Amino acid sequence: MSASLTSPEKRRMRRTSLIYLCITLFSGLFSAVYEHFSYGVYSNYMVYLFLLPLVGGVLPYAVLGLTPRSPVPSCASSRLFNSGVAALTVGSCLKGVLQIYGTSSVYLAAYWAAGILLSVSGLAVFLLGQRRRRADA
Amino acid sequence: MKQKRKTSLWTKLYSLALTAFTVFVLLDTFIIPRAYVVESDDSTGSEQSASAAVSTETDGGGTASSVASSVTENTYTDGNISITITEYREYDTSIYVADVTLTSPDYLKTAFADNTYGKNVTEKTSAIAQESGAVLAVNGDFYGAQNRGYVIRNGKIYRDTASGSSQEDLVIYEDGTFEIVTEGSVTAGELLEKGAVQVLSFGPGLVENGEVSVTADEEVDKAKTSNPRTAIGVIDELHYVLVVSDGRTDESTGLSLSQLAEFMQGLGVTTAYNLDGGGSSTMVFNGTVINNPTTDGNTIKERSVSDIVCIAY
Repeated sequence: MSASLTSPEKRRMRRTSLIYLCITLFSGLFSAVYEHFSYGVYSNYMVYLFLLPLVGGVLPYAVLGLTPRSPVPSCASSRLFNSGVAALTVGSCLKGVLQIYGTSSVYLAAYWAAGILLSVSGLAVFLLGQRRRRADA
Repeated sequence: MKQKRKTSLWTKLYSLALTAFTVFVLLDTFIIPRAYVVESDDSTGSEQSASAAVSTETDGGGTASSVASSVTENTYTDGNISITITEYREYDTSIYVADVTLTSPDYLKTAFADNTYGKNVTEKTSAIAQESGAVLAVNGDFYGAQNRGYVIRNGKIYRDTASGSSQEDLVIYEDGTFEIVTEGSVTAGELLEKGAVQVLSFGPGLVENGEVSVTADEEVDKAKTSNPRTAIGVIDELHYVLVVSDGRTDESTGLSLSQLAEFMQGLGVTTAYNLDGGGSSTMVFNGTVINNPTTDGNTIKERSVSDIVCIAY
């Protein structure tokens, strides 16, 4: 499904991109404050936390929302993809907190597994939907 | 409208699950205590605090005898243990040095919080010291914060999983000598066979063969910036130094690892090793905390830790 820039679907893409932008800014601020009070102990998972919502949310949804003839993902694919980005972002934040404290947890692997699985599933649903539409057309 | 309601339900359920799981991970990591091995009271000494003029039932050879101790604010001396506490002022930081001379390596010990090897089992350094009857104690390697890394204490293996091939451990052998090894080069079992009595897994090694072995920018997941620090070193046979620095306060900025290494080298050590620092850094002498432990720099307060290194009978 492709839509014009003024269509509700495109507006939904831009609104989602804006929500992700807010999450990106919050993540950056949270990282900065957390690192400031970490007495020089750094974790790349915390420092670069903002990259996940930026690359996984702001950019793709901005492209979809601002490109006239680009396809619009279904709710199911968006839901899966967003859930994956959320798991990766929370996992990265938690990994940063634990690294700065000097500890670790075996359960962190669940965030990476769930994040990758859900994100890839969302992308797969999106791409399969496009393929089916092209075949129908 | 129906689809929107479904989306909302998914978002709510997923958010709830993600939040609940994250809370569980945080509780599991920081709060929920798990005791794996509870040691008998006999294994870590009597439950009494060492204090002035206390007669202690022991001697270096294993036969019981009464040893009278002489104690001042900064010294402890009996027939087997001699300790002198000196406060230095370097790098804009107060540094407390306990110079320890022993007649037997048996008096250089470690002890667990609550006499228990486990996860999230913690007590203040002063409390563990009191339970162990320690004359002198500093915080250990906080093994409980890690899931991996060798833990050998008082001649017994508690954890034999390596935390990484480059992880540097301090090995204290039964003759009281120190060695710094990497976990990738030897197993915990091999260390025990070689006579290891204590293995502390934090690091890095600060001084080896009298030379500073830590670089100015070394980080190894710990800070290269100024912080409270704890270290242990050996000068010569049965002659040790236990060192704790203040930090994070207006009075004391703290030490970087390289500053700590240089300071230890200046004390004349041949081998020195960095233990857990930051808010954990605590030195207890005769039941009194002599440094200014702090986590946030504002409140002077002991942090609860997993284990201590101590001088005790």
